[in-house]
Amino acid sequence: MPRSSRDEEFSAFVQARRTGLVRSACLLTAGDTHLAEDLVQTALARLFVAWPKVRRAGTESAYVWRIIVNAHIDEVRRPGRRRERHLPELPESPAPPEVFPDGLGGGEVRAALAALPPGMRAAVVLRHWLDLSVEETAELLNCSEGTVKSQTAKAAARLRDLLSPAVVERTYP
Amino acid sequence: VNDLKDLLELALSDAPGPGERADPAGDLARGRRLLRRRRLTALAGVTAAVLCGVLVPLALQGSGPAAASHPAAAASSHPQPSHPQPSHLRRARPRPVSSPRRSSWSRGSGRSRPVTG
Repeated sequence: MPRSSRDEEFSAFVQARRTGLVRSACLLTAGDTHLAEDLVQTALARLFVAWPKVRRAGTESAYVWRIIVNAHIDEVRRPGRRRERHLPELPESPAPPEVFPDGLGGGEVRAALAALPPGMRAAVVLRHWLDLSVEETAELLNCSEGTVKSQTAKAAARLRDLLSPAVVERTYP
Repeated sequence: VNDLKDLLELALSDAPGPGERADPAGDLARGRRLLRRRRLTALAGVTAAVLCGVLVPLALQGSGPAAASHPAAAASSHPQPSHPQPSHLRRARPRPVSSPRRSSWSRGSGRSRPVTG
């Protein structure tokens, strides 16, 4: 099939951004890489459909993130998902876990992230991982700026509450 | 607990990664498939709308002359008013006049009973 300029531009975008998108989507899914991959695939397919319009507006990243966040919330709300069983620990670890100086591991952080509601998690990831402003985050999540601020503050407090016992236990066994 | 960004980085540090390869061919194929499906859906919708717009008037036109070719069947023996009359203009149907029944009351008995005749 002949490659149009649309294909070329889209391929360049995917080449440059795909890995970062999947890694960030992993945070949104609290470590579920398969779901993160699904979300990114869905978002990129829809981006291709809307590519001329989105490219003209120069809002590729925002468009992709909006789709990823909405698709994730839809996925979490899906009734079939409620019957699936979530394990608190990954069954196997491919590499020795990296730990913080205070002894915190990545698995514990992912478990704490999984305990947050999906909207709150999305606010944290967009605001603190992607470094978006409050306005951009509010626009992406389709909520007010006040909601973004309160959600991120609540998420930080909740993570602190969830992770403090683990830190204390490791520091003072 | 340190800065949130460090915490999020830690969450990704030992997570199974997506792999370093970013092959756009698969995403391109999925995007093309979705685009083709949407175009087909849109085309089907437009076709259905045009067909409805053409066929419904044709069907209505077709039923018009058929009804006009039998005027006798259409006309009824008792013409009805084209629209209902308002209630205040409606008159009560006159009842057939009958002779009034005379009654006389018998006196003297303990019970009062009309005697007809």
